[in-house]
Amino acid sequence: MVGIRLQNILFGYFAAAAVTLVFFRVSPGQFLVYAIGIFLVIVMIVAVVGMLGGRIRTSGLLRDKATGKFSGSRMQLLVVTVLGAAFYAGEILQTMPAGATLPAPPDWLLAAVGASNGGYLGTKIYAHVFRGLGQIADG
Amino acid sequence: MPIGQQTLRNCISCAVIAALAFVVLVLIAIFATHPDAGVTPSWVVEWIVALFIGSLAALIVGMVASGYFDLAKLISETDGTASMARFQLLIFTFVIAGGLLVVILAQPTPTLNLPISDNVLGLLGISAGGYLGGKITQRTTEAGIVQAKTDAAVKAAAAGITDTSLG
Repeated sequence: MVGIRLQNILFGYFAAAAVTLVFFRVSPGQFLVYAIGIFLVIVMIVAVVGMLGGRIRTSGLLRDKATGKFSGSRMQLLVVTVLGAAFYAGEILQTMPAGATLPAPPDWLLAAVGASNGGYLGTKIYAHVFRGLGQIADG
Repeated sequence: MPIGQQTLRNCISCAVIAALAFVVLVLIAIFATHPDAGVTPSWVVEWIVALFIGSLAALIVGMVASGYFDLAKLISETDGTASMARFQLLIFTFVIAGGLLVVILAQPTPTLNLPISDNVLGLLGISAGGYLGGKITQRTTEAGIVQAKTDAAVKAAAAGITDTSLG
């Protein structure tokens, strides 16, 4: 059953590619762009639907692993990530019709994401070092 | 016949058929879309690379759809809990890859030859660096704890031997 589904998708790709080549006469570069584009869209849909539907595990995303309690450093990283990604996606969509390149994210966005990651990492290092010392002391 | 051998036979036959289909597809590509100047070796190589990458993408999608790749732990650590570092890396990868795709497709003639600014690479680097730093911290601390416990156990054992020999 599993193998049959894999075969179907693989040979579906071969058939779709052959039809595209014969009827649309695309160049190798164009074919590659469309193939990667379709692949990316499918992976994004599967990931987003999986996370929203619960198939991809998101439990414990905002909890500290050692204590099991709510983690402020994880929360701030989540907020900065979501807001930063949303802002940059908006920038891309705004510049898309005229822009021939991916717009450069502003320096402050890099600084915010860097500081947020640094804060998360610093908290993690602090927690791990003290938990490690505690475990060593406990034997 | 054991199930393992049957599965192996199925895999081999599927791989052989897929390889033949790939060769046929390359031939179709070369003869259906050949440039006016004629077929050149570089044109053939371009098509083989493009179709191979497309086949890999289809294979990955097929493996995800059929359950060979289990995405349940896509953003999880080894202990099963979700990882914030993995999540943010996934989000930024999707945004940048999706943005690049949108910009490429918005052009009159889509090409892969686009300049990418340093800040875009910097954003990806920071995101991946955060993930890598978290991983190193976790592994180093766990290894340190194991090493310290081993050292303590060796010392305790040595002390026990010394006590026994004295007693």
